[in-house]
Order: sequence, then C-alpha cells, then structure tokens
Amino acid sequence: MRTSFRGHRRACALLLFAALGLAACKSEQPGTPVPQGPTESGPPPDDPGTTGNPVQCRDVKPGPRYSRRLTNAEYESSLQALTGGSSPLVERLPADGYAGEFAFNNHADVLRVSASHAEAYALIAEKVAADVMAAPARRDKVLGCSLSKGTSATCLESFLKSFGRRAYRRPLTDEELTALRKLATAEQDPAVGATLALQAMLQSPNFLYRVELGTPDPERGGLHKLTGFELATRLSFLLLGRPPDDALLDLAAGGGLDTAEGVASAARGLLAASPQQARDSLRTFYTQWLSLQRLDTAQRTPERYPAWSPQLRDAMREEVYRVFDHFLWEGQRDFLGVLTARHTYVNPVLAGFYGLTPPSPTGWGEVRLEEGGPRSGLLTMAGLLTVTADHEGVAPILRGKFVRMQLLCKPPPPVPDNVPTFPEAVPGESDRDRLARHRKDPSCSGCHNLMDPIGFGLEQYDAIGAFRQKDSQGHTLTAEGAVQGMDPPEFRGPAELGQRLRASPDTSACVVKQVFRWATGRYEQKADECTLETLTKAFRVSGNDLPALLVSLTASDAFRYVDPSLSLSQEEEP
Amino acid sequence: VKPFRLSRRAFLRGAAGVTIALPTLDAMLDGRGRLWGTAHAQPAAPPVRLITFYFPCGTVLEDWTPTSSGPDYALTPSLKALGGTAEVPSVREYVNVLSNLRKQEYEDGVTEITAESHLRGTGTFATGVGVSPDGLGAGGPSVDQVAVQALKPTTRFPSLALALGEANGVNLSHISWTKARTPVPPERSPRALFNKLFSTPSPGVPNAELEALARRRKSVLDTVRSDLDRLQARVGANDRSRLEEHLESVREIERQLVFVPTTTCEAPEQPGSGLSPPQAAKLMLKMLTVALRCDLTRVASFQLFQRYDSLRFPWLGIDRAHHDVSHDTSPRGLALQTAIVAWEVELFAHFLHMLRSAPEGAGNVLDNSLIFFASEHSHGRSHEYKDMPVLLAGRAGGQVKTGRHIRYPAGTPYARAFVSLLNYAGVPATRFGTYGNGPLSGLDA
Repeated sequence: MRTSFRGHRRACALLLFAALGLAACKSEQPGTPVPQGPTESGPPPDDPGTTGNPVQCRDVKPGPRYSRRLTNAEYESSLQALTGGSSPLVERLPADGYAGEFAFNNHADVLRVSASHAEAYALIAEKVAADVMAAPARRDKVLGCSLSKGTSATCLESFLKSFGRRAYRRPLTDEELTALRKLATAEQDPAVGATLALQAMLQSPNFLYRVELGTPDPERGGLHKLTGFELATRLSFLLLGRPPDDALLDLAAGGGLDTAEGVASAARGLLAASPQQARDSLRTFYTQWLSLQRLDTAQRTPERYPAWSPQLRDAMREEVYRVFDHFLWEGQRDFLGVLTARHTYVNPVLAGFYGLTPPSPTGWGEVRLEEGGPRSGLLTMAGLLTVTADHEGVAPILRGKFVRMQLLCKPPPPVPDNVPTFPEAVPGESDRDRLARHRKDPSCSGCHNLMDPIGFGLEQYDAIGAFRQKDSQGHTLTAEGAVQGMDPPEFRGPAELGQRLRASPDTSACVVKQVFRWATGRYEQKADECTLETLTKAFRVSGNDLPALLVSLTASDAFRYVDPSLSLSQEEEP
Repeated sequence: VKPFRLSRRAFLRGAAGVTIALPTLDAMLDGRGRLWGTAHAQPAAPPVRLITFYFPCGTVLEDWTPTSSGPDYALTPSLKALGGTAEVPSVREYVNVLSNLRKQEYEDGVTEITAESHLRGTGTFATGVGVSPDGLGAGGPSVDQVAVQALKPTTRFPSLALALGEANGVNLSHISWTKARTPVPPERSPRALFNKLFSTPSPGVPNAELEALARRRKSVLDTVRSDLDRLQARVGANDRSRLEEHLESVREIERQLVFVPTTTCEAPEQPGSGLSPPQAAKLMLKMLTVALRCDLTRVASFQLFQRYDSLRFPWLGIDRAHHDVSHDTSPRGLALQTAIVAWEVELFAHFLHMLRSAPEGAGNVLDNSLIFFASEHSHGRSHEYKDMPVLLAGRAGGQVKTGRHIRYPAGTPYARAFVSLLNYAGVPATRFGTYGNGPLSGLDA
C-alpha cells in the first residue's frame, strides 16, 4: 500500500498546489483509509447525510468534551470587558495559527500556551493591573469598591468574589478564594495585594481557557450537561465574541440556561441587545471562511496592476462586509443571497475600479448591478477574486479549489508528492490550454478536473478582480466552466455559477458545516452527523437565515451537552 | 542607544538570592578587561552557541554544489556571497560546505495527510525523524531544543526562535520543536524581537525594586501554577497534554521573569516601521547577534520565510513568489531561483560577519558558534532529499576546522550533522533521530 502510494505521488505532475495548502492529487481508491479529524493538509473528506448515504437521524448526539484556550481576539475582548482597557503588549502574543486547511484560527488543538504566550500573558497582566491601579476612577470601577483605610479587607474580599466571577465566568471555589486571599494579604499594602490578585486571575487557566467540564446527567447515560455558567460562556463568545456579562451570569446562576428553550431565548436576547457585536462576531466567521484576511498581506506590482492600492484593498474588504451584513441581518436574511446579489456597495475608489457610477462623491452607497453585467454576488467581488489568485497563472486552480473546499465542502483528494514540474507555457499558449495539457496526465486529471474547470468560469477576472475579456496575450476568455457532480456540469461565468451554487443542497449543507466548525473549534465527527443534518434542515426551512441557525445550534443537545468518552482529534468508530 | 541590563543570572530562590557563577564574557568585563564585580570568579572558555537557519524551497543544486572539495573549491553562483560582497568581507574561511547528506527521514511518516512535501521537508528540517503522521506537527524535538534540554542553559532565554514572513500551518511555520507536535512559536518581526529582548526590565530600576518585583512575580506564578494543577486534576484526556504544556511554559517563564540583572548590554535602536524584508531580516539578525554576544541566550533558530509565503523579491527585480519560481525549470526560472538563493546566502554571510565583528575572549563570537544553514529540499523543482544543501559555519570554540567543501559518501545521513552539533555544544550524544548514527567525520580541527 505504501509503495503504490509513493509510486502514485511520483507520477502525478501537479503544480502548486498548495498555494492554499492544497496538498495532493491522489485519486480516491476503494479501500483507502480515510484520514479523520484535524489535519495539516485536509479536512475529513465528505459530507454525510446531505448527499448520498441517508443517515438514520433520530437523536442529535453531543460532541467531545474539551476546554479551549481563548483566541487572541477573545482574550483581548475579555481584558477590555474586565478592566476597561487593554495594552499594546498584546502584540507580543504569538498570532493564532491555522491548522492545515481548517479555515478558522480557533482550532482547539492549535490554541496552546507556549512559553511565549505565558510570558506575554504575564507581562500584559502586570501592565494592565498597574494601569488599573494607577487611575483612581478606573481602579474603583474594577475593584467595585474603594481600598480606603478600615474597609480595605472587605473591599479586597468583594473584589475577589465579583471580579473573579467575571474573570472565570463562574463563582470562585473556596479553595481558589483562599489562594488569592493568601497572595494578596501577604503584602502590607492592600493596593499591592489587589494588584497581585488581579495579575494572578488574568493568568489563571480558569480565565485563559473556556473551561467546559459539565456535570454528569444521570438521565443521559455517560453524557455531561454543561453548567449554566459554561453555557453562558459558550453563548456569549459565539454570538458576541466577548465573555458573558453580569446579567448573563446572573441568568445562569438562577437556572435560566438549564433548558433548551432558556438557552435559545437567551441567544435571541443577546443578538437583539448587542447587534453591533453580533455583526462583528459573524464578521470573524466569514472573513476566515473566505480567507479574506489574506487581503492584508496580498501583494501586487504596480507595473502589472496599476489600479492596486491600499485604498482599493480596503474598499474590497469593506464591500464584502457590507454585502454580507445586508444578507445576514437585513430584510429576508437569506444568507445564500450573497451568491446572486443584484446590488452591492461601493465608494468612489471601488466604483471607479468596477466602472460603476459612484452613488456618493465621498462615502459608501448602494448600487444596483446591471443584469448580464460583470458583477453579481460573492464570486465577482474583487476581494474574493484577489485572495484566490495569489499565484501567477494558476488562479483557476485556486479559485476552483476555493469553491470546492469552502462553498461545497467537497475537497479534492489529497495532493500527491514530488510534483515534478508544471508544464512550461509554450509561447502564445493560454492558461486554459496550458492547464488542459497538464490535465492530460491521467495521474493529475483526477483532482484537477474537479478544480480547474470551475476556476475557468471566473477567468474573466484578473488577479485583483478586474474584469477583462481577453488575457494579457490577447486570448479571448470565454468563462466556460464546469462543476463535476452537478447536473449538468457546464456553466458560463460567475452569475450562472452563483445561481447554481445557491440552488445546490450541497452549498447550504456546507455553510452549516463551516459555521459548525467555527463555533466548535474542531472538525465535525461521526457523532455530529445528526446535528449537522438537523441544523441544515432548519437552515433551509428558515430561508437560509444564518443568525437563526446560530440560535438553533445553541438550543440543540450538541450545544448543551458533551460526551467525555469522545476524543477531540480522532474519529470514534461506533 | 540605551543601556540594557544583561541577564547575568542571579535567580531568587525563596527570600535569599543565590548567584550562579558564569563563564567570563566580554559583556561582563569592565573597560579594562577586568571581570565586572566578581573578583573571585574563574575565567572559563566562552560557551558554544548553536543556531539553525532555514531558507525555503530548496536550491538549484547545479548552481549550489562546488565541483571540487577541500579548501580551494571554487564558489558557485549560489554561494558567491561567501567570498565577500560589497558590504561584507569574505566569510568563506568560517564556513564548511557539506554535500551528499541524505535526509531519509523526509520519506517517513508519509500518510495521505502528510503527503504535501514541503510540510514534510520543513517538519524534518532539524528533527531527524519523520513528521507526525497526523500532520499536526514534527515527529520529535529539533536539535536546538535537544541541546537546551541537555544543557539546561541558565541564560535569561533558554533559546530564541525567530522567523520572518507569513505563518501558514503548524509544520510549515516552525523549525524549532520542544517535542513532537509542540512547536516553539517564533518572534515574527523586528519589533516583537526587540520587545522580547530589550524592553524589560526597564533600565535604571534599582536592584532592590527588581528583587521585590521578582519576589512578587514568583508569588503570582505560584498561584497560577496551583490553579493549573487543580484544573489538570479535573479535565479529561482531551485537555491534559495541552495543560501540561501550559504548566511547562509557566515554569520556563518563571526563570526569565524572576531574575535580577547585574550588568548592562547595549541594545540596538528600536526598530522603525515600514521595513523591507531584507532590512527586517538584517535587523533581526543584528538583535540575535547582540543576544548571543551578551549571553541572553546560547541557542537560536531563524526561519527565513516559508513555502507558502506570497512574498515577491522586488529588491532582486523578481516579481514572483519563491515557490512559483522554484518549480519553473525554464533557463530563466532556474536563474531566478539561483538569484534568490544567492541572496539568502548573502544574508547568511551578513549574519556571520556580524558575529565575527563581535569580539570575545581572544577571538570573536563566530569563533565560538556553530550555525547550521539548510533548506527543506535539495532541488527545489523536484523536492529531492538525497543531497541536501547544507552550510555549517563557525568553529565551536576552535573545535571545528572550517573553510572547506566536504563531500561525504553518497547516502551519509543528514541527521549526523545534528550529532556533531550536539557534541560540539557539549552534549555527549551518539545518535540523533532515526538515521543519525554518529557524528559527521572530517569536521574536527
């Protein structure tokens, strides 16, 4: 098996692949074991339950039990919520990494505390605590009382309890209170004592992790039910990207999150009460889903792309935000509408780039998009077209891969190794012909037939998303494309592709799956099949209302329970 | 230039400070060459510094490997900077070119998940074992961290990890591993490195205050540790190893944060913004030179870009990404690849020159260092691994004879180089990784 695998790797002449981490081009063979769980180079292969094999879906099953370190964004928002400030020292935290092809930077296995993290946490805690104590008004607010003579012992005690509950997102145990009290009272100056206790809480694993232990539920076999406080934390970070506030913790303490209906009602309440934070939180989701963060580091040379500028790049990002915000939060809330949008938002920079009349001479405004024109929905947004075209001459592959991986959740098989050489361009040859020549090698066609033809449907957009009808050598670009597995596979141009994707059940199932990965910080497992199927049905019934999908998720058993017998990284065979 | 207190370690153990004797370093000598403040300390040989230095996407081997071996080999297009550049005099007398080393471990741990060859090439840069088959990291510790674990250096930083460029995936974005699947996250910008090395403690703070600071830091970290212990006892299997790693990290930083510096070291200028990649690289290597000279650390790694970097090379007139160029086998593509590699070697020469310019004892820091310079593949175009492009610079305190091209018998294990590195650094290793069955021959002075 290994021999034949290696032989295959050698044989396949694949290019790159990997610009997005595309790792290999191996055709699927019967009997080949399928890798499961989080991987460096590929997610688990396919989507149970929505296509093909019907799943017997009776009970939604909870997933594994694990505690996640706060992402850097969650950590900063927590610091802000707890102390009313942050510190420039947060830049010393190593950036949160991406685990292979997992689109989000919150995979539980990657969120670790290295020495660099521990050092940064320590220094930030010192600085923030010093800042807090140096500003009397801020100090009294954080402490919740005044450390004046005579009352300092009582104040310290109430500070440990009230601040501790917000920091650990649950009441402190007696043991924890004793340890902090001991730390603080070892100092003669109560202000110094409070400072040290603050530092210790800001470095405690109870603060730095979203600890989820749950309690055994005798009625549900080996399952653990998450406590109200743990659910409050899940809810708040998922929906608002910040830790639970006192009101939500009070609700948890009063048993308000003990039922599915209680959780759903709290979820609706949070979304309604903090709309801006809800938008920002989902912005994190779709930014990483689309790899839009790659815009920040995208480089294009002015000789080749004279229109490229920091202003254009910022406008590309903002366009995606505005269109997504519209389909997420306004009107019908039909999220899949982003694929076929007949309007967009532009400022003068982007309007000029798109050849549209700017609706406002200075700021942003809505424009209708002409039927049959070059812009229509997500697949024609310059931001997306830019981040999927980072390498010369292979944008069709990268774009085809993007559609497969992120929109259809049908990744191509893994890439083989030892890519010898991509065929050199014959002078005068078009990209389409060159890639077709490459696909003549049967060991390459297996996966490139799945990707390249999709990408060619977007060939009328260059590496910064400018519309063109001929390439730089004068070849006419037809935008003829094909998606293997669709009926019929052929399409022409992004407008038709957008409509076909929107109509495909694979797309809605994939969106649900991506939201699930982001929400849980892991790949889906076998135990999650029913959860995903149920959520997908609900998503479709709601007319693709994604905020409503989040509420459905929070009310499901998959959100409220965990199964300690499941492993985080391994697929458990039933 | 602001003075910076050097971490001549005076660790606090409980209430009483315990000072550990240190080898003599120039940074601790006063202006007349006298040992600073420690009249009874015995001068000792400077420590050997160990550095690994990575560049991505392999080479064009025809343009890399010298045709003859020995001291009089002709410099190849890739290596020409070793013979001197406009900025830097020749460093070739400090460098050995090692050829014919075979990185067999690159072929181990191959699963469908780890089929991507750059992932495996980078993951086996300095570990001697195949990558973790689940694709979540290297298969074992890297040579720099093995040295740290064996030597237990008492420097402020047990080791430093530096990188330039974009991060992308665990295996591709790390070359330093404390154990399988546990990378050492690098400082990724000149500013981050500067802050780590030179921003704390604030200069000018009296020692009594620093001692109080150290005592309080220790109390806080003790409390954090007991929290970690309590939590560790309650979580399930999914969380144990991550919490154990957290606990180890807290132990490590306790040493960094709980010390009282007793002498000073000149910090470089604070890095500005808008630096080009060559400027940023040189600045980071300059700071590393200061850190090595002042004995802030003795072990370091530097990852210069990685395979997925979208970076172009405008300063070389090349508007293409490294990886893109490395698979272009047209004559022009090969020439571009060699131009990029030659620039990377030039940067390496620049670093060696800085180390050489830092006097120490009777020689300089480069005399007392060993720097391992390599890529993840040999031929970039075909991902070969049988003849790895390796440079080994520095003399490890006079133990290594340099200035030669050494051609080993075909098939000589690449990981033997790591046995040699460890031995010269004072670690009595006899094997390293799966295939490193002894030190490399022909290096001893």
